[in-house]
Amino acid sequence: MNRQLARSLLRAMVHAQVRLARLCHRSDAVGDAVFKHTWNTLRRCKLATWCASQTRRRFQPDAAEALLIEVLEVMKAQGLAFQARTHLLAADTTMALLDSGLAPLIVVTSHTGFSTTTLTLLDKGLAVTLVADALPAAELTARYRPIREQYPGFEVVPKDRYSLVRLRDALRDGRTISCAADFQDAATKTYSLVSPAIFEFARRLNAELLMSKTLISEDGSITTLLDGPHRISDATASTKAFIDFVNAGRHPPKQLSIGHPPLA
Amino acid sequence: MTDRLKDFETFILQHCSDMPLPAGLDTRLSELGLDSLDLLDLILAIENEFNIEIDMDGVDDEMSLREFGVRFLP
Repeated sequence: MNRQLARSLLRAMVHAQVRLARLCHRSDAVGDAVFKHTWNTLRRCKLATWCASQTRRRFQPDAAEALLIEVLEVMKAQGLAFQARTHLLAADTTMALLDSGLAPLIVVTSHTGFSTTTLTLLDKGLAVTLVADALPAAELTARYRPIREQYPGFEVVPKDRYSLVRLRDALRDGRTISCAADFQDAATKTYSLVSPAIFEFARRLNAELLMSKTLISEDGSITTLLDGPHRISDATASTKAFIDFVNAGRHPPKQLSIGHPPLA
Repeated sequence: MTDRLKDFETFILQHCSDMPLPAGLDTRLSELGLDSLDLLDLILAIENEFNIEIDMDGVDDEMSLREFGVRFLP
C-alpha cells in the first residue's frame, strides 16, 4: 500500500469513528468524549496504527504521534472544540527554574514537539520567542495570530541570517526561546538534519539550555519532557546528546544526523 | 565622515578582513556572506568596541554598513 493510500484510508477511518462517536455522545463535553472514543478505538486498531506509521514521514513521527495529529485535525474539520491534555515532566530544579520566570532560557526541541513545547512554556506564564521558518511576513503573522491573541507575551523570530542576533535581543529581555533544531534535508525532504547552531549560540552567550520532546500517552494525552538545564561547552557534542535524547525510548528512532543549513 | 564613522570603518576593515567588501562601507549586509553565527559575532564585536547596544528591529539585507553605522553609533 502506498503512503497516499494509507493516508486516505486513515483519514476515512478517523472521520468514520468521529462521526460514530458524535452519534453516541451528545453531552456538553462532547469534544472530550468524542476524542476518547475515537482515540481508544483507533489506537487499538492495527490497520489504523499501521496507516498512521506510513503518514507524515517528512517529520518522522511515530504511529501514536501521527494518529493523534490526524484525530485532532479531523475533529477540528468537523467543528469539534477539543484540546489534547498536556502534562509537563521535568526535574524539580528545572520546574523551579521555569516557575521563577527569571532566567532567560533556550528550549530546544524537534519538529514533532515544538508546538506543544511552546504552548507549555506559554502556559507557565513565560514570555516566549519562537524560532519559525522564514515565511513572508504576512504569512508568518497569519499563521501565529491565534497564539499571539491568546498569549500577549508570544513573539516570533523568522529563521534567517539575523535570527541569532534577534534571539540574543530576546535573551537580553529575559525571554525564553523555543527552537526546533531539526531542519529539512533538501535531498530526502525529511526533517532529518540537526543544526548545531542553537547549541553554539547558547555556548557563546553562556545561556542555559533545556532539551525538550513530547511523548504520547496511552490515553492520547501529551507529555512534554524537559531535560536540563545544560551549559554548553561543545556544540557538536551537545547536538549529538540532543539526538540521543530525542531517540531515547523511541521505536523506531528518528533518522537524525548533524547538518548545517544552507546560508539564508 | 565623522570621527566615529571613521573609527567604525577602520574596525570593520580589520574585523572583516576575510570577507568581501566590494563597496567598502557601502557594502550591503547581504553581500558580506555571513551566516547567522558570523553575524552574531560581528554584532557582539561592534557592541563591545563601541560600547553600544544594537537593537536589530528594522535591520535587513538592504542596509549598508554605512547606514548601519550611522544608525547605531552615537
